[in-house]
Amino acid sequence: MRNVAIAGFGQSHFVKSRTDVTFPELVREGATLALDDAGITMADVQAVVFSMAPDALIGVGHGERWCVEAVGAQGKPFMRINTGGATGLTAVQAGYMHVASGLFDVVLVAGADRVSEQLSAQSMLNKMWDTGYERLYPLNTITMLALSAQRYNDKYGATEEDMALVTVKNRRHASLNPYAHLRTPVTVDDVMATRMISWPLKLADLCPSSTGAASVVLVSEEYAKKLNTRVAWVRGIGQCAETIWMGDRVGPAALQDHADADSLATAMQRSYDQAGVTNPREQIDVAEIYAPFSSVELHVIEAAQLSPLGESFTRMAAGEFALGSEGTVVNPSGGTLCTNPIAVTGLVRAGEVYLQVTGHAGDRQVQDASVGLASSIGGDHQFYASMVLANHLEEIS
Amino acid sequence: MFPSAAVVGAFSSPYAARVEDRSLEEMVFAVTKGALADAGLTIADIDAVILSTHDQATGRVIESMVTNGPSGGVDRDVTTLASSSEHALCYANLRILAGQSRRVLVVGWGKPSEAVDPSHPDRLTAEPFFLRPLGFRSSVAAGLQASAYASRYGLDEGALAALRTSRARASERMHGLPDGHFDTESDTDVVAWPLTEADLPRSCDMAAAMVLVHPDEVTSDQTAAWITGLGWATDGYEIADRDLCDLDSLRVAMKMALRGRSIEDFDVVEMTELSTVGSFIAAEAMGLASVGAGASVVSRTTPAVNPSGGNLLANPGNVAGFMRLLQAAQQVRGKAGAAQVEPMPRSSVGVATHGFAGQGNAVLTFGASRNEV
Repeated sequence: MRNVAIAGFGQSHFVKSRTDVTFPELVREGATLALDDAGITMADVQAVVFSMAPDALIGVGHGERWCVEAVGAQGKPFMRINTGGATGLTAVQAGYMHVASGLFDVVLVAGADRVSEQLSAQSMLNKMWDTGYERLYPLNTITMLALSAQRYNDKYGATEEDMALVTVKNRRHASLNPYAHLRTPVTVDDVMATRMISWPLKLADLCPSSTGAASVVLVSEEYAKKLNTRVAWVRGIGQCAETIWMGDRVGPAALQDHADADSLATAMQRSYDQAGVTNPREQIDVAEIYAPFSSVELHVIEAAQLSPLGESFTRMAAGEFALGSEGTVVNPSGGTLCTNPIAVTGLVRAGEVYLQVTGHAGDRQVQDASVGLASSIGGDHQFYASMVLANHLEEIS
Repeated sequence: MFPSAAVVGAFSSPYAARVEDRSLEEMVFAVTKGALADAGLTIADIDAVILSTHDQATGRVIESMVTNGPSGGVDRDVTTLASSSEHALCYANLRILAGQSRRVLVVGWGKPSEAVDPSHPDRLTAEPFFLRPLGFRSSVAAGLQASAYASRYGLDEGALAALRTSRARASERMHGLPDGHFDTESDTDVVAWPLTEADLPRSCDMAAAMVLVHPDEVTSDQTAAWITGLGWATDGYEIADRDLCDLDSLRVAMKMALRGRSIEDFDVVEMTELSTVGSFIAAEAMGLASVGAGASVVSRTTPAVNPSGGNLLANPGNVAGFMRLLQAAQQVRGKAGAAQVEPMPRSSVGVATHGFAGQGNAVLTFGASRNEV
């Protein structure tokens, strides 16, 4: 199998709104940053993968076609991925496939999002459910994950204060990340004082609607040698999907449990198997996991086998997973909870791991990080992607 | 590297201008089941599912959420391609070449009848600053392309009429419809000059699925279409920056897929036709006709062009290009039904085109045997 590496990453400073650029201009901003980081130009790119979640978020159908010039893709192979919130990391996996296939040596994965720039993201996201049944409830991503949080807390005994600790950790991390959207540190009391949105989720348990761009450059081993730059090797990838029906995630016949992230655990195991990761708690130095709400991070940590089931919140309360702690540091960038430009959120997870394992993560650097995990989630907690990256091609020990 | 993969199963739903007795999910389930049965496999044999969506066409924000289950995607590795259905097939090839999959199910669908008017979501694909306020949409783009061609080379009205009739007769045979179902001469109202209703694709609902496997996974009881070439490319979005009388991205995709071969080396071509005149332009870019003489494609018999009738009379939205590739594969499998070319072709080319005035193109070539490469 051909070795593939991330050789460049660029991200804009994520904010609520950008009125200084059009969507293609925003995409170009992220693409240019990644190409500069890799030390190449658009002329060097042989194919482009576009990372774009629901068209409705930007109000343009097939918005990727509008951006072809912005990413210099004229006359080149070009395709778009959309697995909802999982899109960004699935797109990086698609870039990996391009290079690993042997058909290409240099592939750009580019995208952007402007989540806050329509009247109501949640009203729009309600339209992702089936027309005759669940859409009418009305469900949105907050009420959908509130049901998951209720089930998790009931199953394992976690509390709203336990969830608040996730926000406290991630906001502290984000304060060290100049690209993050929400960078103000908060306390548990601050979180508990925010208004209830959908029990048990309060405002500070939720991600913001972010605007910004991000891109990565993927290259073959042969090309990486020519570039002579820092790279993060893609050591393992995995994906898995669940049923759309949340009612089928409960009860004795359920394939997956809505309290947990069972299919994400499957996706992660697939990436671990390919990478040769046998003991994630010992072997994964840093994890950038897609968790848009505080409650989600708890069960994603468990899906990643960084904690036994139902124990992540007690371990977090003991100080684990934070910058400076022993063991795997989770979301040193502040994660999705502090920055969520949906189309590229998963891509940023891979990019942040690239920065960590190459030692260029600035104030949020995890000391001596060499192996990292990135993950993403899309649909109604339905589409999952996972990727293991490392700064070497040796056996992961 | 080639054959990169083999098509061992294919299935599509019957022609219907508007499917009212089945939901989208039921249509997807039926073709998934049909393609697997054609391959002699079960969903348990599949290690990756690739879906193709066009969200706004049916008003679903993430359309693949509801179709993932009926495609057998639960508890499986699933990827959704949203740029165009043919890219799902390209991606299946990449997965197999990359060593990440051995047996891949690819599912696509188009149910434009779910929109009040299919042109409404189409208009949303125009960027909001300049084109959308003008009412720009696919038919307008096709009209501009045709008028540019007419201005430079003139239009052969006889060839246009012959093309319309040829495609209508083939479509009627293909879909088991009575003669005259498609009355190609009655729609003479100009939609976008110089194109009339009869010159533009006619919408229908359809779902389709294909099973692609690693070449070493093909068993003796399977009938394979070996994928001998693969190419895809895009042009820029701004049509003012393109030569509308040519399709640069199709030329790039053809070169990538043909790998030094000539279009003359193939027995059958199944190609997307964005309009009658668009067909002439595509034929020129493919090397089926010389520049400015695209109308000659109407009388070509070698290779046979669109024996299935193509998409002019049966255009299933997002899956229009996918269907062309499926039909090209079915020809070398000997499973093209009423469209089957005799004697059975040894090789075929499928061309899928999408976007305003054919912004993007994908080409797959197929062989009847593994050593057809």
